Amino acid sequence: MRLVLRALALRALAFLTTTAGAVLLVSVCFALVPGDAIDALPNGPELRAQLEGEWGLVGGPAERVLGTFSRAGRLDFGHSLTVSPGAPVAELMGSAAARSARLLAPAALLSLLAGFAGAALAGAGAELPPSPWRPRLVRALASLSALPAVLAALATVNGVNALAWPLIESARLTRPVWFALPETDHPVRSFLAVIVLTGASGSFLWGVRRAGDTLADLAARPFVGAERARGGPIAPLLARHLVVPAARMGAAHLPLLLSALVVVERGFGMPGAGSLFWESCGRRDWPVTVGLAVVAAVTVTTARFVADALAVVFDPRERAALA
Amino acid sequence: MRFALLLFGLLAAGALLPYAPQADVHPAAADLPASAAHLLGTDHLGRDVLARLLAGSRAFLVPGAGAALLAGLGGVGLGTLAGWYGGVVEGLVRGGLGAITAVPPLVLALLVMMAVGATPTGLALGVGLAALPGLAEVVADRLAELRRAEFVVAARALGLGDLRILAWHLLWVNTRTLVGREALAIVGQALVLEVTLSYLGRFGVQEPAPSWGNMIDHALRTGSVNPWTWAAPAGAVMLAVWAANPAGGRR
Amino acid sequence: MRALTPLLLLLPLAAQAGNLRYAEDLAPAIVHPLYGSSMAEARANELAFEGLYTDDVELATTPALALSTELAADKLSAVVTLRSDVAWHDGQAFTAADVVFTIKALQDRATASTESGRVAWIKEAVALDNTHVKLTFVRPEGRPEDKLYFKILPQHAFGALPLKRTDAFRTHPVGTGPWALSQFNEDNSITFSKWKSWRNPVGIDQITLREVADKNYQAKLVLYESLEALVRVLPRDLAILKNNRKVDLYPYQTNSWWYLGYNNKRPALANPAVRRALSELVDVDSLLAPVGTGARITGPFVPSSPYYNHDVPMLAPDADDAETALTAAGYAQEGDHWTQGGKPVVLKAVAHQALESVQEVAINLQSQLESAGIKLEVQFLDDAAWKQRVWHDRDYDLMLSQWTFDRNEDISEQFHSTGTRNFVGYSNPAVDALLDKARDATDPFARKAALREVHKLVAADQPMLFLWTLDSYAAMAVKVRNVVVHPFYFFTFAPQWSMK
Repeated sequence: MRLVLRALALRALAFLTTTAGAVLLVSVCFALVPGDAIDALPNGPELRAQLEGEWGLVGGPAERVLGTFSRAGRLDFGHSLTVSPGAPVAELMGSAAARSARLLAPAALLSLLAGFAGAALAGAGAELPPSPWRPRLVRALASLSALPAVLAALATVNGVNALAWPLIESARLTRPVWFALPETDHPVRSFLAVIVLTGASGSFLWGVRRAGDTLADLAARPFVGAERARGGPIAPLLARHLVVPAARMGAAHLPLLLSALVVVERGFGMPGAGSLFWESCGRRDWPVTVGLAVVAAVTVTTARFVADALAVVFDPRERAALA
Repeated sequence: MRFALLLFGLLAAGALLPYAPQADVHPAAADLPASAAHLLGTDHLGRDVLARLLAGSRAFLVPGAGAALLAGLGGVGLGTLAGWYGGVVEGLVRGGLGAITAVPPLVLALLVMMAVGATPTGLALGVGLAALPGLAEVVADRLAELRRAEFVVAARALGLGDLRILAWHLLWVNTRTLVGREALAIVGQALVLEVTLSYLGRFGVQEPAPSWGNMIDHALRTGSVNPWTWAAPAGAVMLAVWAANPAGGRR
Repeated sequence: MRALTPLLLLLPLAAQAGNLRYAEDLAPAIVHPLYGSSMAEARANELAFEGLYTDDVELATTPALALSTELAADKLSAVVTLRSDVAWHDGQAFTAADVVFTIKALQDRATASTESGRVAWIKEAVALDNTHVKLTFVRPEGRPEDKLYFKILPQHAFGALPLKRTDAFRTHPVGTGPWALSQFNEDNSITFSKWKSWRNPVGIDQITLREVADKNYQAKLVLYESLEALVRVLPRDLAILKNNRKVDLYPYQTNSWWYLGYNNKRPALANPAVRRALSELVDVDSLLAPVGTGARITGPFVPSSPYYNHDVPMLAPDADDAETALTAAGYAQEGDHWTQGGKPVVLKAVAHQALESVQEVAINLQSQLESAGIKLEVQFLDDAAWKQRVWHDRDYDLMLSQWTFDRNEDISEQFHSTGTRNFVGYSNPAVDALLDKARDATDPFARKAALREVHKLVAADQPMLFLWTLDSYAAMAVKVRNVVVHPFYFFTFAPQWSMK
């Protein structure tokens, strides 16, 4: 128990330092980007004298980074400068993150399921009867997933609309609620966005490969061989031991999903944290950018922390390594 | 292997084409369909699509190679430190790498490119930095697994030094394939990021230098009636990413 | 029957209400006339706010919140009579105090408004009573009503000055315009609802601004009937929309023109003969062709402007003349390249990334100059990077951009040697004097004469190569009737629109 607690405490420390490191990295990069929030205003240079102090843009890059860092450390994210002038960044981030979570959470889960299912179908570790078409199917799907998310989003949105429109125009189909820029969020649009997020930019490919490695490693373990020798079912055994690797895989996959989120939100016209990040970079709204970086870092490090915590709790080898 | 074939094909074909991909702007010959003179037709500025397609491979191959080199050198170095020494060193290295991976790759690449400039160097730096932790962790995990292996113990018993065991037996013999696979995937990542950044906000390789990303962006923006202006680079992107990322795990 | 006629006239309008949806690349996060930072925000402000004067459909000045303006004999002051039948969207009465408050807010440096320049000509504003405001000017003004277009704010909605961007007003605006902001929606769209107490009938119940980041998608949405209006149709979409029976196209001419600016402070480009030679190496018609249709210009106004000097001839491409001029300036041709001091001439150009079609123009320009023996390196910069490079650092040789002016077409900021937006570093005392004369002129004919002379002199000096003004088209679903589009604000005449 003591070992577990110590391990968890160490991982909590890692969580904090990793988040801090990520924020520092983003702050440094942003400080080096040419132009600032005042430049994003139409007559910004004329207003510089009035706004520089108020917006915290005095001093060189080093001072700005330190200032950003110390504010982030106090969880004071300030107010948006140009994206939504005056709006508290915490409020902006909260609503954007909540909207993005509706896509990200199902996509993360689906990625795991699809990765392991694909790897199992392709023959990694599973005790399925041999079949020539299953690996081919998986390879074909994996190849399709090579399409970058931006192209997949464009193709999906335009393709679905182009297919539906002639039917709507000729009155063979009643105009669906989800068709072409719907007024409200609709499950069909969200579903398509989740599929693109899960599969495109090589995401499925990555998932199948990583899951395949995991399943192959597990299948090679002595206890699996022993169970096989006893004639028992392997699949349930593998499934029980997949919890920790799946959690680690999910945590490793999250940064890729967050990247694709920027593209998918813009492509599908579903504003969220991804499109907010893009806008804040273009408008040099550093409080919003840094705030979103914190959210992204916390999301990723929380996922890692959960995966590591599960490993410590369920994997005796982890506890032995600590001892 | 298939990526090597793709690479060779692109470079060889590029050398044989009669059209310069950048200089030949002919507004009068805009949006021509495929013909004997222009196998994939021309774009909205009258430039040969095939020439730009083949030349556009350099836009991700060069920065991709640069990114792979950066990630490779940095990743192998840091991964070796973490995997071989373990303990506090490993903790520090993994912590630092964790900070980089906590920032989504697109975000990091975008910020680096905005800071350094939308150039092949910027792309190489951004992608390399984003990919470095992944490669380092792969190397670190591998070395952590192997450092207590029997053959390592045997090698020490035979009097081989740590440096030789590390450099030859562990890194070269046992890890190079893994590193090679990851490096290839990094080239694919460079392409995906370049296409994404080009389309989203023209932060990819800048015109008039051709890249598959800016070709797709240009075709969609100008509404070129020649479908090859977007179909050819989109197909090339898929082919290259597929070639750079073999599917399936170990059996 | 006569008493019923006005009511009968209203009936078709009542039946033709509806929701007009239009697209913007980026939805405004605030609706506040003092802090607008984009044309999307200017258009949104046009729905909810009014100025003392506005344009009529002939683009002549006409009263809006004002009734009349009486100019003093010395032209240094005027008394503006205001309407007494106007209410704010929260029901409070509009008074002279609101006008005075707005002017003071704009003048207050601490407010840091993007629109503060609009009242730089007003020395003082005093409310004489609820419906009369006395304005005192910095210098004599011939027609002050031509400058009283800035939007008026309600004093009662604010505390003391200065105003701040962070004031709650930014998301709860109160105006007097024909539509009031109903809500900011979760998907970044904004809904404006008809203001029932507006003084004239309003034909459309609701206007919704939808954010559609992908410009390529906007025209398709009009075809799919997901939008009723598109502010500006891309050239690539014109043919498709023109041929569609459900969409009407409305051409309009903005006061915007493209230019290729030369950094007059760079040694190579300080010589007007060199600048002229470069201009003669460029085939402007060939640059325009892939981009769209428009009218070539010879100076800093659009051809439809009263200040445009039609006597200034178009600069035609002339490679021989350019060669002579460059040789005389100390350049030499070595093989295919021009050189100076033995080194090939390499010019660095920057282009504003957000400008539609700028890539095509820049690439085409590069190709033309390369054929003529001059290497051009082009960089595309986003807005903030552009300001850093061009406004702060002046670090470029050529720049490709566009100027857009409202009805006042005041070019002194761009061409006066002390102008804050004179990025090309142009300086000509004669032009300065003429611009000062135009600014001080109270007679519109004197102003016109001065600015036409400015056109002539600037065209001769070639601080920039004046390119063109593009034709603009708005797209409207056919169910939107009585459409007249304002070239700058778009929605100025929207109250007259109706929907079937």
